[in-house]
Amino acid sequence: MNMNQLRDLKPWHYGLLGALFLGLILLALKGDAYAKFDPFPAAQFSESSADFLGNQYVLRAQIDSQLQWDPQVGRILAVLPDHSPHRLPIFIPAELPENVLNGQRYEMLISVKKGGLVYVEDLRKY
Amino acid sequence: MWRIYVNISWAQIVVAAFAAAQGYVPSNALPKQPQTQNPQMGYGFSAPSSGSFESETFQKMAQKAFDPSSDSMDFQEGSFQWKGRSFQLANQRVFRARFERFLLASPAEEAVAYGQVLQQVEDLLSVGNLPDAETLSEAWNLLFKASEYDRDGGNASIVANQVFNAWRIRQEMRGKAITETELQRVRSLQQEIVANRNRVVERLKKQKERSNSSKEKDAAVTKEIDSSQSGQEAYFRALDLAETEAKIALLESQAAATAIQAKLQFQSQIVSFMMQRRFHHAQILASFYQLIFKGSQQKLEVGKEELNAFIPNSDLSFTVDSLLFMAREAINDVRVGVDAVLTAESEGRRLIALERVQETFFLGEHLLELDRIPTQQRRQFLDLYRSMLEAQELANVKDYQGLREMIGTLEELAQDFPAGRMRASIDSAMSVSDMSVFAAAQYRNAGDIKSAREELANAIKVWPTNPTIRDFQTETNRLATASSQGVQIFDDLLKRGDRRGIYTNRMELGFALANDNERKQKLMQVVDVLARVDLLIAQSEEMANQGDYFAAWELIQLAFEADADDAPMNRVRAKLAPRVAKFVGLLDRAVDAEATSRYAAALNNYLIAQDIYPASRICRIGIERVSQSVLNLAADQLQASQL
Repeated sequence: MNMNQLRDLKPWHYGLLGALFLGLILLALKGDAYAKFDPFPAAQFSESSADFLGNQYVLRAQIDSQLQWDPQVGRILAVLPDHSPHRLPIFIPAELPENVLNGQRYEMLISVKKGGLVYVEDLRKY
Repeated sequence: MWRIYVNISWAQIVVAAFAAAQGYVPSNALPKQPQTQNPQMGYGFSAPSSGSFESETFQKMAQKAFDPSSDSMDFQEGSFQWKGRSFQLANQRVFRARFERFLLASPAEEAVAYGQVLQQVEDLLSVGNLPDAETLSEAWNLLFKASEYDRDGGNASIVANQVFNAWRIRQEMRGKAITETELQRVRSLQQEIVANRNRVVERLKKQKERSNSSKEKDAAVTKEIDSSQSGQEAYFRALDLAETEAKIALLESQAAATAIQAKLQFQSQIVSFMMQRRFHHAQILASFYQLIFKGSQQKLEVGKEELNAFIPNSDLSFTVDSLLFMAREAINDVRVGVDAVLTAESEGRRLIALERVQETFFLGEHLLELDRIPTQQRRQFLDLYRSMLEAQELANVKDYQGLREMIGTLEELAQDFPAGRMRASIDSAMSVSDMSVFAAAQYRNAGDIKSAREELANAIKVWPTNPTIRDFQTETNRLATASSQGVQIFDDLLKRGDRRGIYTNRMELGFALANDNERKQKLMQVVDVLARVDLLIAQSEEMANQGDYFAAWELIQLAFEADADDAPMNRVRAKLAPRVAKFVGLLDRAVDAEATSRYAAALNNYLIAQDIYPASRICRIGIERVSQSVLNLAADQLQASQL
């Protein structure tokens, strides 16, 4: 594309390109929120969950089954983390309005809370 | 009900129940005591009222199946029925002795010759041969030849004597007839003399009446003297006549009496032969009778009562001809009976053959047709007959084990013996008795003495020699003996926490603690727990044998929860642990975490353990329980963060 061609662009073409550029910037910013956390060490966590209290991780896992559910509180799920042979219990609070189905894969932003509870703060399919 | 338990005299129960069941003691004669009696006085015995349908059914079947006698024989009435005629059978032992003697004997060669002689006599007397005096004499002479055979038993001589007696009487009657004719001639002469003398006396009387003068008077006196002498002579002639008349009358009456006597003796002997079932001799004697006596003398005058008993419900007028017919019919029937025996034996129907041979033997015991049954078959009949009698005795005393062996013998001896049906019946009766003993043991162990006694009595009634009854008695005696020391033993075991020891000795301790409600309650608890532990151990071992160690562990874990100190259980648990170490480690960590309220960690461990053994019951229950705790924990944390 040469300069002459750039001169031929209509104003709405510039608007469209600007919106596209802005979206890419927002997307990059969002991806950065997961990227700054380490992957969840599922194997070590099983051995001693108390060592991980207060930490935040990114957990990539497949939904196995729902163990408990309370509409006011949330749900307890058993998930199978990537590269792990054993399942892991996680808690998804009710405030995260995500339809979770068995077999779906999610990338989750988690934190380890009191009692070794894996608390899901955010999640997205991948 | 346990309260009365230790005071029972088991020996009394067993003996009394046995006696009642055997009929030695009538049930209503046994002492009955109310159920509310003082336990220290012991438990009263009363025979159970329930009978045994199985036992009675078997007895009826056995009486029929093992009875070798023919249906024609009624030993209770002592009679044998043959074509509506009834013979006196004597008692069963006498008949059995005669029958067995026949089966043990062998046909003798002389019997053939004897039979030929009898056949000759019968042929000579046959009406078809038109017998004359010479033929009769020949037949009569053959009778003496027949009587020489042992088989005849001298009966041919009796026939010969009867015939000779008849002939002798006939001869005497002929002599008396001559004398009577002579006397009749003398009587005619005497009658003429008497009549002549009477006429002379009458003439002299008329002459006296006509003469009235003295001269004539002198002459009349002379004639009166003559007249008086003539009257006396007439009188003596009349006496002679009367004497002759009396002699003639005496001869006539003697002749009649002698003829009647001969006829009656003859008829009596024919009836006697018939009653003795000596049909050949009856036939021969009847034939002689027909030929010796005239046709108007054929009606039987004697033996009416015997014949009425022989042919009941009959209003026939018996004649010698009818007896002759019956004798021939019997001889023919024996011949047909022997044919039936030989046919049944050749077709392997020995049981039927045995019944027929008995009937045939009784009817034709003195006939030669029975000799057609060979010695070998007689021995086989004897073996079967004795075996059936023995089986009948065994059935009467309900010795089922002996009876089963005897049925095997009978099956070998007679292919048509219903062995299968009898075995099934025996098995059924034995099972009923075994079940009653088992029920009695259950009632005894539960302390229900009344029901235990009833079941035991029923078991004895159905099968008195049941070996499990003796086992039951031995066990009961052992329990009763051990009960005296049981309280101290129980306390010691309980103090040491040896629940397995209590469980092992539970029967003896049950007796010992029957009156101690507190200890009895503890005993029952221990027994319940250990019984469950034993069951779980058995199931766990079975799972381990099948290679399912995780399932085996879960089962032994349940036993561990029931009694953690039980040694047999811990041995099995220790043996299994290495095979499921990782799984057990996860479960232990889950339990520890749950115990310290680290529910999420507990849930994590349960999930990992379930991944190892997905069918885990422990994991499933743990996950359900702990996940709820985790949710509650999350709720608390949410609530705390909102505050």
